[in-house]
Amino acid sequence: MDLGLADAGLIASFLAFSLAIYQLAATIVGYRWSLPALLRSARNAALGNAALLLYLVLTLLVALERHDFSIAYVAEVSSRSMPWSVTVTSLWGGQPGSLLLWTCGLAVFSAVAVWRAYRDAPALAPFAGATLAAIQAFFLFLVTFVSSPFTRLPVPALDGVGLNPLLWDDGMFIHPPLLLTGFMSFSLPFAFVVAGLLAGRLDRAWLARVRRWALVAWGIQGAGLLAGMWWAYHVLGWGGYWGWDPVENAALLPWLCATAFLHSVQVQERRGMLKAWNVALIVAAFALSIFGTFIVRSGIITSVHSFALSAVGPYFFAFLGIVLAGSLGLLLYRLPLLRSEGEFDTLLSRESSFLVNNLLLVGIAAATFWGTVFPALSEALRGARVAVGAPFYQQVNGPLLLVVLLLMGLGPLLAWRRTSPGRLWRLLRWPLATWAGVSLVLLAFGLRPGLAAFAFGACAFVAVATLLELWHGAAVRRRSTHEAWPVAFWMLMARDRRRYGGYIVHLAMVLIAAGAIGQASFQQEAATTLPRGGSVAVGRYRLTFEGLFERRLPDLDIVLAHLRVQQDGREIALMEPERRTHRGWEQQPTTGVAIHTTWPWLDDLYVLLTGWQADGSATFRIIVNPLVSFIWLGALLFLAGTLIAGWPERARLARPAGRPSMAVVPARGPSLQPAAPEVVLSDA
Amino acid sequence: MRERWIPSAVLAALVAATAAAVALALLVISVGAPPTQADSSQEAEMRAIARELACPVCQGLSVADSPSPLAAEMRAVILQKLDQGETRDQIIAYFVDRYGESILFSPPKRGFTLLIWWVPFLALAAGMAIVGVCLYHWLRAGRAHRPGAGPGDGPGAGVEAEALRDPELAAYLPRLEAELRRWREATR
Amino acid sequence: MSVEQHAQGMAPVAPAALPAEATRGGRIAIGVAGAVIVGLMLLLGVKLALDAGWVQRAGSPAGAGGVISNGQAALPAFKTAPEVRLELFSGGSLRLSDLRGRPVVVNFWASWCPPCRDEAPVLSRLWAEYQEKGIVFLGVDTWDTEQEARRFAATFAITYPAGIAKGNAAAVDYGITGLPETFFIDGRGTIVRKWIGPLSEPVARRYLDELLAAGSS
Repeated sequence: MDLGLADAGLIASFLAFSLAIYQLAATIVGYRWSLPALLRSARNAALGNAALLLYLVLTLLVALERHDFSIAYVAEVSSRSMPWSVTVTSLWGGQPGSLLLWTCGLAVFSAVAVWRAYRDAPALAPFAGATLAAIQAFFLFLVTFVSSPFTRLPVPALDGVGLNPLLWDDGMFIHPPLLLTGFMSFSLPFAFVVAGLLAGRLDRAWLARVRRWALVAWGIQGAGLLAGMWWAYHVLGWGGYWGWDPVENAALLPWLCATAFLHSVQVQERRGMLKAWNVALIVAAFALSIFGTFIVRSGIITSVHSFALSAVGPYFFAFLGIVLAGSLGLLLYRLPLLRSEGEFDTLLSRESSFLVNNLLLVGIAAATFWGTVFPALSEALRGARVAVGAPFYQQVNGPLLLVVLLLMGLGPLLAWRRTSPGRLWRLLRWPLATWAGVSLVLLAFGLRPGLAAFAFGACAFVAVATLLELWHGAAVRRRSTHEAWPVAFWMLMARDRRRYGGYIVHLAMVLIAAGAIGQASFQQEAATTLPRGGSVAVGRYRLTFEGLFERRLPDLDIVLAHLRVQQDGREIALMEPERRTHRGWEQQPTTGVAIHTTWPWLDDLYVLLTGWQADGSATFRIIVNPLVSFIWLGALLFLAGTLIAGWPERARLARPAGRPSMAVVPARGPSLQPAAPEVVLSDA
Repeated sequence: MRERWIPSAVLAALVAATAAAVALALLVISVGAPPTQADSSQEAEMRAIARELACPVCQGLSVADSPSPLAAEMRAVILQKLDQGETRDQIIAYFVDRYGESILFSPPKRGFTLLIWWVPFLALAAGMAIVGVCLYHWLRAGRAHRPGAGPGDGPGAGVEAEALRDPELAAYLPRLEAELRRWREATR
Repeated sequence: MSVEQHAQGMAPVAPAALPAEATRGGRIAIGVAGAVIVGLMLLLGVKLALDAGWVQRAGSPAGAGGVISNGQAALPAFKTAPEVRLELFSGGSLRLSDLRGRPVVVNFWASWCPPCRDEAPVLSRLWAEYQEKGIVFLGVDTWDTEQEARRFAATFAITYPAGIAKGNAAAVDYGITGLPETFFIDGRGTIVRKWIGPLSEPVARRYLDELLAAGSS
């Protein structure tokens, strides 16, 4: 049978959509009428869907590699002149393809979550499975009927248009898939929250499950954001790494909610408080992830990241409305179950610090959200467009972020319930001394603006406070086990991964903050036109322009400039900023930024070739960015900390003993009696 | 029991030394740089004004950062006007006249757009008020519940032994045991 | 304490806050949040409808959504056409102010701009026809190199006054954001129409006739 790839794709996506509907229906019917066989089949349907989606992605990939230009999407995002690695990334280069990748990730994660839920938490599993099936059905509806990557062209094209040359970069392998997966993964804690609310089972096991999925989503999204910053800085070449672009903000918002949740969930675990608030945070994170994709794909807010306008916008809008209405309704209905159990003892406690932490993080998220939607609101109300650029966010979020930074240092030093002022002083005095010392030393040597000295001091304060906590923990261990220091540190992390992984992440944030403060406060810039042999001094560096060179590749013309960099008379580097023109894309030349990180000053020399004249002179934009490398170091530390915090411990894998996994447990029946796990008591 | 929380003198010295080293490194990084020679004060002024204007063709970039030819021409115009002695306000008004208010990278602080500045501030104030109210309720409930216990020493092993010695801490012991029991009964 | 309470993870101690009070506080919070969300969704929905063209704002020309699209554009705030000083390819120079009293069409173009290629033959054809009726065409080459511009002018047989605007940033003065853009200016120097994108013959004719009609009245 002569089945083209497009046909296979269309059939498979329709099958997947039907399977998702079946999964939803079977779960509801199976639960309502207590039919374990139906529930089992629904669970298998989830697996089947994952397999189908993987098949769909593979089909599209094959179509791209084979240059099947009878498919409209292939003709749009790929061309014969693209190297194969770029062709792979073009899978998610356009709107329909990236939607397919999102749906595939959702299917795979859902299958894993549903399978494990039916095994470990049978009471929640049907509800979680149904929720995930419903979300999947929505996305599959879009992929099959509204914006399919497999629609045919009436006449197959001879060659495709191809991806914008700006995206012909290895970063395309990392940043978009990470962010797409990150956005998608907020569906999982949401599904379990809804499951808990529907089932009326809001116990510790449920909370642990939600928390773990929230950590997964938070980690992936965080990695995606950091990858995006790296890419913006190294590839896009406008001199910075974060532009407060609407889509960047949209990716940040669910991450901020998840960060707030990861802190306030501890209050719920230990004190049984803030239950409704935590539910609201997870709902908000999921809603914001849908909102984020709505922005990107609907054109409602213009952004560098926007795809071309497509028809999916109104559907996402409707879906968002349904999600919010349903979640709020469910929350209202189950409010009695979410009553606080405890109370606060004193103001000077970790619970209070987490409250303030949440206030600040949600405040930053709210301000960022407001700035992002304001242009759309203004246009809806007044018909006038306004632009909300970086200065707004810097002025509003800057002070809040500084306070969050300080809280990172203070919070871990506070104990649960109450901290005596005496003890707090004992813990704080060295970090405070470091803060004062660093700030004063910097100010004395003339570092201005003074706020930067203060902020660097704050970074030192948090770093010293966190390091001291790590040291204390290891020292206490050594007192009883007499291990060597490295072993003590290792075992410390192994025994209480959440806490110490979290401290590592705090240290990572300090590094990123220090890098951001350095770059924002002390950036130096110059734009000049240099003749051959001419030189310019920027900061402590002198750059000499030696000449322009041209390199012709099969589909690429590169013009590059040679710049010799000297520092204090000594040559330290040869930089080669480029301008690349791709054949067929002459209107959109791309810049190749030349970046050199100097040692030991840790400045980034950032040079752009902006133009050249017939007489051989060239125009450059030269920026000196101090301390930017700290951000990338912090990113690595962030990954390490997240992995430590999230690494599963043996105790958690204990399953309920003596229960068939597919039994339908009524919502208000007796609780499951788990086999006594080997419980590791972290600090109480 | 309290001694273990005091860092040893050696460690304290190490921490102080590290902090001093960090401080010196930072200062050398940031302070030692002489001012750029190529960037004259007028160019710096041009850049400052350009940072306040949004490039009309490239989304989200200021005129200072944008590589487009339009932005280059705008920068040249700003320099020209600064040469002619125009003030920052005059130059910005000129661009607003030409391109509309959306050319401003930050919405102006008047009229409808004042809202964009006020709402986050009000929201934060409302948040603080709510947190304050919640804290008040919870602290009041806490105080009503407890039989006047004294300051504790935070978590740590050996609480039981200490509690037996210290009558103030004895009040916490039953609660601690109840919570530990609850903890053990559930999965983590 | 019942088994159910155990299942729901409730604490053995009595809850601290008065239950009814806490739930009422929660309900108020959800109500406020709901109201805010409904308001935001309404406004976003309006914006979505505007963009999709289901709804149009009274008084604004079609296509004035969030993106700058081709077609008739809203007139700029400044009514009087700014000065343009052209260094003509044919030699000599020409200023817009010299042409006061006659309708002028100012067209911004560049050699590297594909829609300008579509538009150039249209303009050349119309120039031949409308020149004797008193309208002047001015072609302003923008963001281009002189060599390429001259070549373009030769290729498309541009005979109307065209050149490079030297000395003043005409592009910024006119507030253009892309190429090509065309301004129709009447005899008194007021901008009557602004067109973004390549001109098609019927549209151009309509506006040119409009200029003539206005000039004679």
